[in-house]
Amino acid sequence: MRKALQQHISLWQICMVLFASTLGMVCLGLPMMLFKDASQLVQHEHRLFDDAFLVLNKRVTMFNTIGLGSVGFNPQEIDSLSHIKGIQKVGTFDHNAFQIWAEADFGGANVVRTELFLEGVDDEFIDQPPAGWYWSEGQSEVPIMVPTDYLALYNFGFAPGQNLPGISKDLAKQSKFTLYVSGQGKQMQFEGRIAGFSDRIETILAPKSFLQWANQYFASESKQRPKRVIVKANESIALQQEMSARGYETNKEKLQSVRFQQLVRQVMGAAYGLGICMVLLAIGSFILFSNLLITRSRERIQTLFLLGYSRKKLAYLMARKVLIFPIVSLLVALPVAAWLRWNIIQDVRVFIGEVSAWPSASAILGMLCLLAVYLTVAVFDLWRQLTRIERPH
Amino acid sequence: MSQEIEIVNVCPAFFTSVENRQSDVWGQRLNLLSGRTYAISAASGKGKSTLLNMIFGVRAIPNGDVIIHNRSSKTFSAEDRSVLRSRWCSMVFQDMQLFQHLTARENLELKNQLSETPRIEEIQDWCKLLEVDAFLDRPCGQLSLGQQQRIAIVRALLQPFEWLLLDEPTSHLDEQNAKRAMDLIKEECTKRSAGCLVTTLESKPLFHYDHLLYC
Repeated sequence: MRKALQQHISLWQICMVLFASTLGMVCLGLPMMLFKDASQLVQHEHRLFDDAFLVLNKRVTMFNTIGLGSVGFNPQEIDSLSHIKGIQKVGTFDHNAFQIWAEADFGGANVVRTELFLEGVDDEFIDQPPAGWYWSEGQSEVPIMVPTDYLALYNFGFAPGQNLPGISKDLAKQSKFTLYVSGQGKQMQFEGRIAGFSDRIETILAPKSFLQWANQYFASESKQRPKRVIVKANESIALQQEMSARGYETNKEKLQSVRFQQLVRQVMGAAYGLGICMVLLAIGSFILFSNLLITRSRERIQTLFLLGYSRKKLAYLMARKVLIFPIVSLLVALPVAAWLRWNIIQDVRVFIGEVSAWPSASAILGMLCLLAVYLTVAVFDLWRQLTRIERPH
Repeated sequence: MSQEIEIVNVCPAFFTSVENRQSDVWGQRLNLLSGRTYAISAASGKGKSTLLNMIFGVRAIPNGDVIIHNRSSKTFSAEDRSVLRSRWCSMVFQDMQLFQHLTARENLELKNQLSETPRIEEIQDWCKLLEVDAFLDRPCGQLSLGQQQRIAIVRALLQPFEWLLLDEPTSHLDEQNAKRAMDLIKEECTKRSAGCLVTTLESKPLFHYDHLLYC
């Protein structure tokens, strides 16, 4: 039966179909494989498709120093920030408008006392609010978050010079200290505790509820203009332009990270778009090729139907002829895409660190899913054509 | 289950435009009884092949009906037609429908693979009887029309059937070969208690038949 349907297909035609389909699969498979590596590349700061958080403040000038002009944000300025393209959310920092001292007693005469500042921000802007991150009126313990960099400064800057031992994050969390809060002729003391560390916000954070209560209770002016705002952004160009125009400042590295993320997203999007186009073209060429095979064999298929061969039997035989191409293409495309990925990541390996030599399972699964979609379409098309040939006319 | 074929008021489009419409087949109710041989005679273009093709499920039935196994063939699915062609009816086509690039033997094997009913010796005997055994290994495209027609007749016998449909099966054969072929067909139909429908251009066919119908 196979011999009855045998057709002469030139090597050139076979090569063209295989080349087009393999190229399409490589074009889609490669971005799939690189996606995970690209995520790893920016993981240090943020995950690839996560929005970035930027802390903005007004530039401090000589006028501010001598008391002319404010570095605080008024409500209109805060509201206008949310209208800038690429800004998803805007949050404000509350800061203490009262005196606050921290005192740690290490036993005997070893008492360390320092003046402190505190800021508060809505929890949704904190990387990961630690356990027990809340404060309510009457509570004696106040959880505090400090930047991870502060601990690094202590461990690698301050401690070696003073011949002091380094402190781990866990040990730091166990330490307790007393907070003395005063203002308006009133004074209170609280138990301070380091609840966690923040990679995102470089300030000493206390729960916003604590700052709002303390400002009301100890400060002469409870409603103060926030000096800093935090924004969640996914686009950098408009933000950068607006910031320059308004005279705002932010961490430049973080801004560049947003720009990089945006660039990576655009490149990946373009690669995906191109890949999808190529795959659609490849699927189209497969379908055309399968139609060509069936059209060429139409009379022979008709004769087999007349001899009593069933549609199922013929569909099985034709499917084997037609579907072998995408399967071969995938088998070729997988190692080619994996090899290209390996060569590409070699160039950026220094930024990524250790990466697997093998592409991610999800990328391979994605390519297999794509093949499954094509096979389903092709089988459906084949069945439809055989039905048309078999039907009495 | 009835092995009869009923043709009920089938009237193809070309027939409706004929002025003097006289036919034993078209627009009639016709009961074809199993085990009988029917000769269907008509000049060219009167629809002899059309009738066989309608029974065999190749041509659509425009109006009326063809009842096979107590069922309207209009209700047959693709799988039903496959069973019809491999178990109930076998056919010798006017244009033979042989695979020209395959040898005569391969053409026979292709049909035989479906049911593997006759024994190899039997097939060899038939080939010998119709004098085609000598060129079984030659591609059909290299055989004369007469040789191809004999191969097509042998192929039609390579399956179980209740009806054998023959569309001008001896049109390319000389008298002697035609007689041998028709004798073999008669013998096989009798052996299988099968009915036979043979179309011919002759108004008085030379082969044996039970009924003569004018198309």
